[in-house]
Amino acid sequence: MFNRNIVFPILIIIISAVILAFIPQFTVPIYYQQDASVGAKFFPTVLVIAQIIICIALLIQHQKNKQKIKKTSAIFSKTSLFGLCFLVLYAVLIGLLGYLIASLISFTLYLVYLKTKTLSYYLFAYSFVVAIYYLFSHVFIISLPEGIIF
Amino acid sequence: MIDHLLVGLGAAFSLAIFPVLIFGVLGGIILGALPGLTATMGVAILLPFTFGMEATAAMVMLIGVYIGGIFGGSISAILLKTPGTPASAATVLDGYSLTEKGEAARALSIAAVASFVGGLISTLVLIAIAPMLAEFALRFNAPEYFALALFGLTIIASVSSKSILKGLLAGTIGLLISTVGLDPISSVPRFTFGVMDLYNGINVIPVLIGLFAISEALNQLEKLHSKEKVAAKFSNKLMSLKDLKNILPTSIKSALFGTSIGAVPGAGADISAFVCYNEAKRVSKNPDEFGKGDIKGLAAAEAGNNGVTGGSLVPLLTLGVPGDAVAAVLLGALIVQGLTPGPLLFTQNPEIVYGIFSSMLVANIAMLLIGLLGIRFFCQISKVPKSLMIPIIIFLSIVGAYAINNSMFDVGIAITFGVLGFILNKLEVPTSPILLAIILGPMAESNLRKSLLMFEGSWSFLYERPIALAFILLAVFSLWSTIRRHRKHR
Repeated sequence: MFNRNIVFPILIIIISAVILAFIPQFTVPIYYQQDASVGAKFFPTVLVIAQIIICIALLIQHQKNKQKIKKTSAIFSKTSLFGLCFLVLYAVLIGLLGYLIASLISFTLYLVYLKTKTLSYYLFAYSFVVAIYYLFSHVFIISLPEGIIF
Repeated sequence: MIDHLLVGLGAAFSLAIFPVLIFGVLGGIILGALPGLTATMGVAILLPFTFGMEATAAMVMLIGVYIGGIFGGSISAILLKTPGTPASAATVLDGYSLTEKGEAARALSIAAVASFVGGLISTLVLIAIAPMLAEFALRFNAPEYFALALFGLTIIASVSSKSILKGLLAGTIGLLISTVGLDPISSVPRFTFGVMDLYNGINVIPVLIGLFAISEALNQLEKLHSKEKVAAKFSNKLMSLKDLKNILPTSIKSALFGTSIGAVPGAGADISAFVCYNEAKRVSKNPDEFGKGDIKGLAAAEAGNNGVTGGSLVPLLTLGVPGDAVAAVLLGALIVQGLTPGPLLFTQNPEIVYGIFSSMLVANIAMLLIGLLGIRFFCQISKVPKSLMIPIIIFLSIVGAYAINNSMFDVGIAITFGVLGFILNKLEVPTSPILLAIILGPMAESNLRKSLLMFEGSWSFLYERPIALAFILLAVFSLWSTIRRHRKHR
């Protein structure tokens, strides 16, 4: 089992190292290299170095407090993974079918997954989706996502 | 001045203006409560409705939307952990904790009263010393803005409840994210990877929606099936007189802070709320209670963000310089009405200026009344079963993220930050510093670089400019006191 207190800082250090490798590739115009100011690379470089230092400090802190560490659960449970898939599916559906149809389908799928049998929940869900559609598109005149298909 | 003000008050209560004012405040509260719809957007949406209106009525309605919108954001922040606007991000810290304890009605009433105090004091300061404040705000140049941003960034340590190191890490992640896009001085593309949507940088609103709303929806979903279910508690009790006594000094102080921050062009309600929250925590006898439902924390954030409403109008009305995005839209509204904001407005159109001042006073009273009377209605949201509330939060979040720029890219950003926020919560890394850093990062970087250009590469601006030096000393003091407090409690 991975220890998240070690894996997370190490992951950030690796990402920071990759970013640090990207920074020299910024295409800075020649006239900007001549002025007295710090350039476009300065801020990201300082931040990435700070990030690495903080992660090393976190690793040292973890080594020092090893005994105090409490038992933790997995980051993603079955339900949170469902939530994540639901989010992505909704975003894809909204792009294909538009807000109204995608929301009606997604809400139904969600309630079915939770094995909801109460009819009032379904009625509430559909009323909410339609109310938001009306409020945004007819009252506030704010366009909602339109799908490719509809 | 008093005569003009009385005439303005008379106009604000007239049949032609009062209903417009109430409509504006109510509309602002509704818009502000919806994630993604900011006070700026609310004012912009209702702007076309004012084209056919008389000038005072038009301005009154828009100002009502502004004041209502800033308060409205706190309703969803307190009840759903979903700040309706960036200005309410600091409200989540203690507001939602109170809701979890079953004290949503108390939290909402405190928010309404603190917002009222913030808005009222801000308006009174605007009326009394607008020209002087404008003069002070005009002394701000790049070094002062950089020092202000630096001071703001020290709040990261304060909102990092358990581990300062993890808070600082979150802060650097946020600052790094704020560097995505064209750099502010030389327009060099940074971390854009050829993606056009990234050239403008990452918008703060989808980040806010993701970090707070979507991550919370995932969190709640997990709790639906977990064994450690929290018993549903709910109390209809509003704030007590003792609460009022407790929050009043903090609210007044935050209102004055908020007004000063609002008067500085470029510093908005979001920054003000965090600065006031930090200050309230710093001087508190029980700083450990902050983030766990401390009413002073909630009041400071709310009075701080509503305190900006009057402050941001100072440079607009006295100099014709819009202090923030809302003020820019209001500037547009004034121009549409054929008026030119600036010193001449006070002499040529006093009825408009004092009409605005008076209507701000009345709008704040209306906001308080609507806020308090609506609590029972707002609290019904807390009674909606969690299993239904989760998709509602997700749908509102996605729609809100899309509505900002009509862009599915922003939806992707919101989802990405939702997942990131969820993971960071599990790792006990606070998410507020990321948001704070994304708000303050561009201000810090661009003004640091401008200062270095102004001073030909010398860093002497850090100690040669009195206002900048004052902010830097404040930043050092704030950081030192936070670290000392953390060490004491370890």
